[in-house]
Amino acid sequence: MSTIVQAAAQSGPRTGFAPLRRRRRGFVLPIVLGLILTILVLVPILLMFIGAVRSGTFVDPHSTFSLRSLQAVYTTWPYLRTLGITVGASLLVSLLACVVGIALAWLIARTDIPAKGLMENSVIAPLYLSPFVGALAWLILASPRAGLLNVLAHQFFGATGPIINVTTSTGVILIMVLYNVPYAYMTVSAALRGMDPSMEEASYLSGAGVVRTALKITFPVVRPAIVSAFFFVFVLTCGTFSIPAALGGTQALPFMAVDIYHATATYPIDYSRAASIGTMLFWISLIGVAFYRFASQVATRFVTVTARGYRMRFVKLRGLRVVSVGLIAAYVVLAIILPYLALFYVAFTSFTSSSIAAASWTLDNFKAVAGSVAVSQSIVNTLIIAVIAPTLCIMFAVWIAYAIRRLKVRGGGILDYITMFPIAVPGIVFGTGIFWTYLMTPAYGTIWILIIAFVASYVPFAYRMIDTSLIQIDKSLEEASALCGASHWRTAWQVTFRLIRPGVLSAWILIFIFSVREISAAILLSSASNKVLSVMSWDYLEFGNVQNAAIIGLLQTAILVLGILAGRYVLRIKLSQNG
Amino acid sequence: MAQLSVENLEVSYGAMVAVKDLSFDVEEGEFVSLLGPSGCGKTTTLRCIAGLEASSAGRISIGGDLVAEDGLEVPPEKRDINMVFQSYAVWPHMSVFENVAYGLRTRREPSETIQVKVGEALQTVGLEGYAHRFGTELSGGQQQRVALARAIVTSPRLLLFDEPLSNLDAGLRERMRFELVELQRRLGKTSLYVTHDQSEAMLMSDRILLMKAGQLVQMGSPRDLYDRPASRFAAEFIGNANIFDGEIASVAGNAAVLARIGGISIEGRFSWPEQARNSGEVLVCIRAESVVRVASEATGVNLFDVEVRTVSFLGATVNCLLQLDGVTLRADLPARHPPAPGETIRIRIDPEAVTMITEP
Amino acid sequence: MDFQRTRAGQSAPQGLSRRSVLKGAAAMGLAASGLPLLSSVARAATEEPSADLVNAAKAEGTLTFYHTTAIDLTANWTANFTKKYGIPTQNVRGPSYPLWERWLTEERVGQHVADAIQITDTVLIEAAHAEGLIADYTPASGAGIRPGMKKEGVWYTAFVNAMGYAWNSQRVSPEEDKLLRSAKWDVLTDPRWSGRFATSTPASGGSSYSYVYMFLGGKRSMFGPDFVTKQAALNAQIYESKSPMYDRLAAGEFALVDQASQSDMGGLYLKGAPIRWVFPDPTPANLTVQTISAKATHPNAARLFQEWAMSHEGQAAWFALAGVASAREDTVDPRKVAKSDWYKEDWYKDPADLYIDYLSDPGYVDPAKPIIGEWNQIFGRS
Repeated sequence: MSTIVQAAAQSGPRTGFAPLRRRRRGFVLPIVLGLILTILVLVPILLMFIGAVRSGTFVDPHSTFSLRSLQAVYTTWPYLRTLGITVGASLLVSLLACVVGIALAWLIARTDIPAKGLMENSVIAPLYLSPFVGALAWLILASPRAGLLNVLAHQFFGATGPIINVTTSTGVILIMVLYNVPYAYMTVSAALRGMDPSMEEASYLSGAGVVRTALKITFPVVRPAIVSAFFFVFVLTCGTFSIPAALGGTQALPFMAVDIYHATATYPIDYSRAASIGTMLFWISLIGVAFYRFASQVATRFVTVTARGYRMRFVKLRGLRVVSVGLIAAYVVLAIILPYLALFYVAFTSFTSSSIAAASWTLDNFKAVAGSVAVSQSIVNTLIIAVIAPTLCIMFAVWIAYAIRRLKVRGGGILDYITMFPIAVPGIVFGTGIFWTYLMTPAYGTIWILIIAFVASYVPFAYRMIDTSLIQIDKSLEEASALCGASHWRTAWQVTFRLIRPGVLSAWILIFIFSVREISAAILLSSASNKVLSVMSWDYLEFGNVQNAAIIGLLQTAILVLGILAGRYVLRIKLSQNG
Repeated sequence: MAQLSVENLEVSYGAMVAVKDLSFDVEEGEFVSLLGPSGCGKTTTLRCIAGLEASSAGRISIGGDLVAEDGLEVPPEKRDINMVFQSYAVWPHMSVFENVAYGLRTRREPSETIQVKVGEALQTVGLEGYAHRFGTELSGGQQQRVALARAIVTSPRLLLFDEPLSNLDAGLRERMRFELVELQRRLGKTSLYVTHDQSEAMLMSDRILLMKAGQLVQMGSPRDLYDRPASRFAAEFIGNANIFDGEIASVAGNAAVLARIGGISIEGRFSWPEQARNSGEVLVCIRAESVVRVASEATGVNLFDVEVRTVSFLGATVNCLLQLDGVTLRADLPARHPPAPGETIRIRIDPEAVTMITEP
Repeated sequence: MDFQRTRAGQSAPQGLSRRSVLKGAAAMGLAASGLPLLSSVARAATEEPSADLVNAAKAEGTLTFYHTTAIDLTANWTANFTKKYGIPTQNVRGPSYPLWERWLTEERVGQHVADAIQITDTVLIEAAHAEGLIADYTPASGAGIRPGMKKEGVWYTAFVNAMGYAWNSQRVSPEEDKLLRSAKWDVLTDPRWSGRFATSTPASGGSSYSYVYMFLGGKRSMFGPDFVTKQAALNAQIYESKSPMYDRLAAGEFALVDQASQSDMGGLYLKGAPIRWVFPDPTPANLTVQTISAKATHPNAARLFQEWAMSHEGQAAWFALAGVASAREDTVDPRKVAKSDWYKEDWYKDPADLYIDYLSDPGYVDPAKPIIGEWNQIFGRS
């Protein structure tokens, strides 16, 4: 009682200023946020567009305005062909990843499959392996003549040709599918859990069986989530550089992101061409993001969460139980177990021998890596970045989300749109933009340029997750706090932020994972004093030896797993609900 | 033969027993409610009958067919029953027509038949003209009608209702109650209805099964339950009666009994003959509306002078708290000429309306 | 000997240039410099860096080194420098062209990151020198570098990389092994290698470019587009960088690769990989050259590093790690004398006829690098 009286007494003399304050907040906050977003997101993208119409780099004294690259990229056959293949392959990857992801999500969320927690952790485990390192491992496993699997098949089953070949377009697509399944799984599985179970029960009671219910009710109801997963994977895949690059570059499957890298890494170095391809990739991704945004908005509108205490009736798999467990096990073997076996094999042998029997086992590689100053520096850098980047990213995302969703600042719609922009910009393109943006600042060449790049790249993910948490909090909880006389910031701090804590923490973990794994932007921004493990693994593959690249990949996984274990057991964060 | 027969049903989750040794029948065309506070196991029972949840022991048969027993569990889609859900569960991606036609299509009925049956069902629930709307475009009440049409269109052997009206606002709920019961009478569908709302159960049911903590407390017609509660729980849950701890003073002939509550004596009768005792403790149960104000000079049995403590206006009646010797009695008196607080009035309670319960 | 005659602007008489170069280092040293054999004491007296430079470099405390050679190898090499002077180095590895482009950009905007840079393309360095981005420094130890392998005050060769072809001995028949040992370039065009051969694009860096330049540029009359066309017909796997290619060769993915350098093949050999390599005549070689940034943040450390890198000691340290030809006449691989490692193998022969006198060819220095386009066309790459 006394609090209310006090608050009322205090607010008395201030009432005259309240409208003024409101107006100030109405302008200052969106302008500040807009400025930060402009520098973080828009300037790098803008520089990419300007770079596309310059004949050389920004600092090249001979560089002039030129439409040559744009013209070549947008009108000539090789580029359009690559565009077509990139889009086609990405659509195929998304389709397959979604089919597998949906099947796994349904099995785990809807059936009596045993050990659900373990199953789910296994399905999302590929997130802890950098796709680049995964591709590298698959190259060792399934290159046509020296791949370990092909050699074993030859030795034991007398296979004459390769049984699997990852250096073909099919191979590249399948490897990309493998490492995109967790995204499709997580989106669809969240939707399945949010879905009102009575929708399916009503179907059963109308006489429909398991299959009909799944096809006619379950999947159509979560269709927006499926569509949003599809376009999310599509956009990610379109900008993928590491997998097609590691599996044989343009020969196996021309990919725009790989072309961009080649334009900046092989003679003649042509930043203008790289930027032009970047702009084309930008438009494609932007279309994908538009669909993704639309679908995820519809998804939140569709999902009806009913907090009733029933246990879901799980579909009894009976005989299919073995098959289903086998399906998940097959996925885990392909995405995790085989690649890690390959990495360990390579790490412990002196050179990559295709005959395991003839391999010479050694610890020298570990000694070499352990003794490398560059590696220990990059471990430290990776750890620093992996802590700071997600933290800053989350803080910024909470700020934006709170400003847009709760304070309802002016121009919130525009801010929302700009915040989502970086999803449309593949790492390799964004990295170039960041490079030019910060070239002349003290951040250049330090770990801060990487932190800036990661914060800018991942702010959309953090923002979406936090925004979703904010939407789910009943406003009355905040109003109750405000009526108890708590100040605005006290309400935000004590109530809102506490309630969104689970969402914030899982966003943190996701961005932590991304920051440790990120490779394409990091390659472009790495310098003497800001090397990170992902770049080291790339460098070792390209300019050193596969053995060390594999060890770095294992180190990365170790950091990711430690971080996630710390998250789970110290901070009690879960990436998903079953685990 | 009973349309639904539940024998010794038991459901437990690990150590937690949700339903214990429950047996009842529902006859053809009967409307039976499972009533009880939340967590009493009524919804679990319903879901077991639907096949959405597995029982730990007991038998369930529908229309004479055994659907659940040890080692047997007919899946819900094979039970030929239907259900209306609390959340409506109208499929958002289908039109109203498709929602209703779903069960018929599942059975691969010819499309002309489907047209006719869906049309009839929509007409029955008063949704003609809504066939091509989508579920998400409808109000809560309309969605509930879609769910109802969807449930009746397949002519199930048994209709299950899981608190179907609890998400509707008060006015609409009231109207839907009447519509539902009217519809049920008209279609003659055997129905099992779960609710925690005693007035809903009273209004709609042929029979009420009152449950508490996973067990059947009392079963009977609404009137039985109201007039002759067999336990303190039943008396309190249905109609919120005044209950006093008393002691049996004397028993006269055909169940007329005199009980002492503190300093006063009151005459009543045992609710159930089998509860009759000659002495010992007894619960004295008096409905608020059984209290009648009489002239201060009136004479007879069960006449008491009481002091009016508070008077609350409810419209047709006033709810008064009356001080009677050591105890407080709630009474509903006519709103016309209400007593004033502090006034002393004389009241009479018909011995027929004083129920003695010996169950602890 | 062609080494003396390949200074920029000079052209070597053809008759003399293709003679055995690395056959007996002492004799070559005599012949090359025309000076009596220097004892290490005498060398120390003339080539040791001044105490002032050492102190100034130590005061700067660190050095950033951009290079194009293998990561661990280079790190082990620079560790010798660190050990001697207590100056740690930050090594940044990149492919010649992007690394150089990166450095140019940094210098142009005043982000002076690199102190010393070591790449495989002298043309680029000379262009940057013209732009004023290269420090004018003549290391005392540079006197020991063969005359054709330096441009005084601008760049100095750290080492010479001869490139032949290499094969996986377990992926060829005995008859093929014999054929391969014959060390003839024509072996590379045999249709039998179809699907079993891998190569690396000349667009990836200076060494591959120099290699391809011999076939399409300098020795066009001898090989030319015909030779490359036959190679392209082998349906080769083309790599953007050579390390993964060598790794796959060791694994047996391919039977045969070209652009095989002693340092990389020797490394694999020592790890036990079933690899053999030869240097057919003429053997294309390229120079890995070092230069100092004009605006180096640690100019003295850079100078001291160059002094060390060009000294007998620095060169010997590189030899101990990767056996390639030194740019110094007084430095040879001790393993060769001891007949250890691959020097004991009957298939191994040093390169006899190094092709290195192309550094000032107009076709080679053309910034448009037309042969890359030609090569891409022949191999059907856009």
